[in-house]
Amino acid sequence: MKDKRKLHMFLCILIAALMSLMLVLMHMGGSVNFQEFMSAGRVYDVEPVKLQMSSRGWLYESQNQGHRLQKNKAMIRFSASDTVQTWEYLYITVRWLSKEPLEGVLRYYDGEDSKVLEQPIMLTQGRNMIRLDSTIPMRIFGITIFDAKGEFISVSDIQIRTTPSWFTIPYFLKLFAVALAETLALLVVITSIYRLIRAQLPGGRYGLRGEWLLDSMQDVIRVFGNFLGKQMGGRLYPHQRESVRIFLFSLLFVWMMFGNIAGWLANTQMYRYHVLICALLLLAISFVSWERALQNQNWSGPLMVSWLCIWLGMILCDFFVVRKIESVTGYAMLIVGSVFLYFWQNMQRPDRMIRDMMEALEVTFFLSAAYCFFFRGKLPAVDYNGMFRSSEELAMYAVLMAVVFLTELDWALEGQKGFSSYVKNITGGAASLFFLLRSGHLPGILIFLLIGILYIPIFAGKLYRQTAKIRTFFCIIAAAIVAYACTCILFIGTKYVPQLLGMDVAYEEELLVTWLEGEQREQHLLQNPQSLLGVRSKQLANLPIIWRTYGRRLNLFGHSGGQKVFRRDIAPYSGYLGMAYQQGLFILLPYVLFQVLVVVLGMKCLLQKCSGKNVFLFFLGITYLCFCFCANIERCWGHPLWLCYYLSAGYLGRMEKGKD
Amino acid sequence: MVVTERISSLKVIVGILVGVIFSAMISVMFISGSVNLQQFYDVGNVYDVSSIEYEKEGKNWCYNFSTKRIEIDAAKGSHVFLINSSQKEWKYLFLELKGLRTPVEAQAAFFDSSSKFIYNLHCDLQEGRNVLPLQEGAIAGFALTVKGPSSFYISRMQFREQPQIFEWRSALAVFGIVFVCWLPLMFALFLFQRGGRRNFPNRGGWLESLQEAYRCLLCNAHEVFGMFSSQKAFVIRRALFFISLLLVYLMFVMGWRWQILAQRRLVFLLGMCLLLIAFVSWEQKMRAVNWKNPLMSAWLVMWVLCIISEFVVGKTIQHVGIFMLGCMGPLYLSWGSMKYPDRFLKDFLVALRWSYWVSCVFCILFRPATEGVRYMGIYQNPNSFAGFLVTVNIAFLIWLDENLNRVNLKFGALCKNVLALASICGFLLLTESITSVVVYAAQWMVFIWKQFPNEKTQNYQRNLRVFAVTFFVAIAVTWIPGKICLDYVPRLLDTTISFEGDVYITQRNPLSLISNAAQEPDTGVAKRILEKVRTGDWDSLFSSRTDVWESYLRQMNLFGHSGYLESLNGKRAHAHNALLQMMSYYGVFVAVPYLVLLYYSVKYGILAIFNGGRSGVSLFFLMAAVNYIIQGLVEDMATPFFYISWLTFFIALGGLANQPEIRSIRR
Repeated sequence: MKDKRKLHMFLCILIAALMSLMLVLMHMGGSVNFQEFMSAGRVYDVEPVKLQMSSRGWLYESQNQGHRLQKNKAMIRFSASDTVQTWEYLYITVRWLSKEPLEGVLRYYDGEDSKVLEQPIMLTQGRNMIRLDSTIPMRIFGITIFDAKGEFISVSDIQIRTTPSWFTIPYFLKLFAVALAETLALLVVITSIYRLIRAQLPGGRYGLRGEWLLDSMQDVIRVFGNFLGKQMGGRLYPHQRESVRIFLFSLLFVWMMFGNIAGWLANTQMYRYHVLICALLLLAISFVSWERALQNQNWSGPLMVSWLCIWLGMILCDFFVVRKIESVTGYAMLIVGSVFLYFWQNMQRPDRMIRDMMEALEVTFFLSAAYCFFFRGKLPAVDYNGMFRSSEELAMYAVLMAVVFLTELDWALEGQKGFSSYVKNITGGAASLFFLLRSGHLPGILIFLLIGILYIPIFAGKLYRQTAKIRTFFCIIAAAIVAYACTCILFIGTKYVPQLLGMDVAYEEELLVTWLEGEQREQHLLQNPQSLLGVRSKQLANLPIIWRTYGRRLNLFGHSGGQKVFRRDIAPYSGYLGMAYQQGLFILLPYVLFQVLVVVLGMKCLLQKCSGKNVFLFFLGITYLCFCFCANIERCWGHPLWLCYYLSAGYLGRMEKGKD
Repeated sequence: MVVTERISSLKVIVGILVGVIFSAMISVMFISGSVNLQQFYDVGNVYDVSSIEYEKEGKNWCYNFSTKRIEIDAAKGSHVFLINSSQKEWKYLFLELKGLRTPVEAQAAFFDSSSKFIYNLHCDLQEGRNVLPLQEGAIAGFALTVKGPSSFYISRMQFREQPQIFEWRSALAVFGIVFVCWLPLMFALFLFQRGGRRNFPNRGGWLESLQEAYRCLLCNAHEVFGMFSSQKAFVIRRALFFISLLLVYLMFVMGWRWQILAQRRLVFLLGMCLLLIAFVSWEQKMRAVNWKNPLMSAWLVMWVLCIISEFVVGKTIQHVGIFMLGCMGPLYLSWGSMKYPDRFLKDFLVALRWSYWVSCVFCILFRPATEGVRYMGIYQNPNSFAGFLVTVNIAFLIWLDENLNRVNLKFGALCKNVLALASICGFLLLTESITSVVVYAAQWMVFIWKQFPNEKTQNYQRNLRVFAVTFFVAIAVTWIPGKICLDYVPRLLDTTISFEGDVYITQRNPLSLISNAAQEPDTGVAKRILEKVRTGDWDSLFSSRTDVWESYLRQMNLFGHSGYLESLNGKRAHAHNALLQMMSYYGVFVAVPYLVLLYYSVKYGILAIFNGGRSGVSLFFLMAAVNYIIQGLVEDMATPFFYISWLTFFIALGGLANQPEIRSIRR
């Protein structure tokens, strides 16, 4: 009861927060617009790298993060768009000025790079709003400062747009607080009225609740599940079932990774076939797991409801936005994912499924490591992508595998497992760490550290409770030495073997990222010309602008395609923003709820005294939650972390209290 | 009554049908020289110049409508042919001539889209096929000049990308060989299936599971929707049926069928309406419902094939299979579970009648009739409106059938329904749709056939006389003041509405509307039929539909196409045939379950009439099937969600879905 109340409160706050956010954005946009809350019009943010460029009059000083004006008539130019367009507002945020105010002119250039207008401007410290002549189209604009030779100016942000911008963080927070209070009050009133009405209305077993839909869904799965499950799982012995499951899971993970590498996740035609194969494999795993006549489970718990709502929400968006890729994900997860979860929850020992899944992950990991060893060389000064198309994906995979091996190690510490188990798990963990460090993905490394820190007390406690402490300790040390040796081999292998054998494989449109910037990059290019061709700098500095751009375009039912930032398609680098942008703002309601519940139930799973205790689900929840803040985690049907995370609802959903 | 049937014979027929399609597929691929499952007849694009083009007058180029021949009396006769296809680059021009006694010299001058001359081709035209190789470049048309007086018949004028290097005779040989090979394979398959039956889930198992799944859904929903008593349920059902009909109508008229989002929403709403009807109608103490019959097997297979096709090929009209299996299926089961299933049907018929009266008022107030132009009523073209009319006609005929035997026939109700029957007839004649007139006649024939057992009843004789008198009065009322109202009320009130995409068709389709209307104000179905019969060729009889069918047949493939295909005059149009349309949408093999479905709908429809347990409304099933099939021969009945006839037919299947247990007789 207490838990339920807490959940309701959390839900209320979440709903109120999302509604407030929507209202505040609409208020700032000045209109009630569900297609785009903020009604921001066209907006272009000048890329931070462009703000660090020098011109003849403006010399960039990287140590001071600003420009020194070299002439009495110093000019710098920025491109506003690829084509000639009209704009209305120019916002220049000046971080610091050595002399205030600076006077100058703003010049408009057309498509043929000839000046069409000059407009006087004055720059002061802070945010400068310049009203542009909206009748004159331009492609490039130039800022010329007069009589300020030797002065210093640090510009942090330039934005050109067709509508005024009222967004400042303090103003937003003020409005948000007011809206939140009002929405909460309104929600309380609505909830009270709803309860009153519900008490008055007659109803059968379900009353006004939608549980009958959940039951019906389960019934449908039960009927077909029994029909097909008997033909597959019903004919196998338990050990055969496990072997088949591991094999199918391995196949599924390999297929997903292969699809990701082949670029099918962004290919409208191929994606559906890719998902179809994944769905068939998952169905096969489900039917193989049939042990006895299926029984309906309690799916009215918040975890399962939120899980279903995520996919239903995705499907619902199809009624308002035309797209193909996302809807396939929603349908596949809703239908096939539900079947899988239902079968999992019907297993006598559901922890077997987790073990099989983890074993399959291990198999695929060692296969992937071997693949990287022979085929994927590390390029100098470029983050390693491993078997994936981007270092970010490799980092996510490495953290997932680290969690898997930590869990296995945890189990090894609990039971009387042999030396080989320690060797396997510690080597696997070390290899994961190696891949993670090679990927150079800072959030991934931080998440790994967080998990490590969280695991230390558990590890210490387990070691302390061990009867043969010294033997275990020595086993671990010996295994660590083996792991070190293996990692060294892997390190050397990924550096030299593919080039030596001439088997280095490069993917089409692979995202190569370097940590080198500015002078370092230039120095590197002097030493290794052409080596950074097609290699991008990290998006770390651009993240606030990327997030802001996505936030500006939030709406009720999502968008059909990607968002252009700096005139090219850039992913949102945030799971929340990505989901809200693609599926509409209110998808965050089940999404966030699901994430919180996975962590909470994972924690319960970790702390429970009975059998089946494991750290996997808790760490998995933490990992996903953390990646969600700053990574493109939603690689639907393309990344093992994504699949493992969403399927974990099968185990956790059974933990929710409810009817038998 | 127990339906006895030899299932094995059905299996053989299905096997043969599959064999025929398979053999045809292989033969076509063989003669076209490529294995292409996207288009079996892979000979590049082909564009047929429409026969209507030949009929147009040229310079000294006369078309004799009676002999169908081109007659050139002067030294030079020329005619300009336009290429209406979106593709403009062609490699060959095939000209098939008949009745040309001596070769004639000819010249073809090609021009581009800005009517600029590009090049000339000189040739001698002979009897039979003349192949003119074209030069590279886009062409928008050509002027064919024939030198010297001559007379000939153009049987085909075709632009092609590849030459035709085969003869259809060789296709027949391949077809024969493949089909002969198929037969033993088919029997081996049957034997194998019989041997391994224990290892594979059989058809009945799938249907049972499906039925069980629906039952669970309906039982759960009954917990919520069971609050409606049977008194309330019928009102809700009628209202929901009416909304469903309205949605289907709006989908067509508002053009929402081509707007993917609007279409999805409407389909969702339609599905919800049907599901709600199912939930409201579900009776817990249900009758035993048996779906283990060929009709439901074909129904299931057809929609599964449809889902597969939809998955493989992105469709312009989506979610048909899901709609059928997800919404229509529960509706069927719910209907089957009812203690008095006729009530369900009566509610649907009431909704149909309501829809007719609403449309009638709409026509009188907003849609005036124009002399010389086929009347479109509430639709955008006369054929669709005629299709609607003959569908609602079923509802009124059934009322008549139910009441002609009654002791106390209510005169008010009789007047209302007879007025409807007479006005439908009037509207139908205004539309001048021959197809619908044929359907209408067929419906009356079925109706009259049903009346034979009643003939000698006294009540029947008396009621029949009353009906006859009332009908004549109704005809007088609707055809004189009714027609005047239709002609003048919207204009007087200035409330005329025209829909976007209204197709004004005159009798001499598709020439200038105004000139035709002025020249020939006196049109009619009889005149149309007479003209068609007089010409005596298929093309004219089917209003150039043969070209469309040919074009569709040419583009058949394994998984279907996304939407309508480019056919007549390079425009995208429906196949004008339900079977071809289904094959085009969902792949060639869908023809097998579709034909089985049609056959069993008729068969069970007839059985329903003779079934003692059925009441008067049992006539509905046969009428709906006949309506659908006859209209489907020359009109588009296969495109889902567009036509009320389509919805009516698939709802009617629900009443036939539940059949007594089938016994297999082995001799």
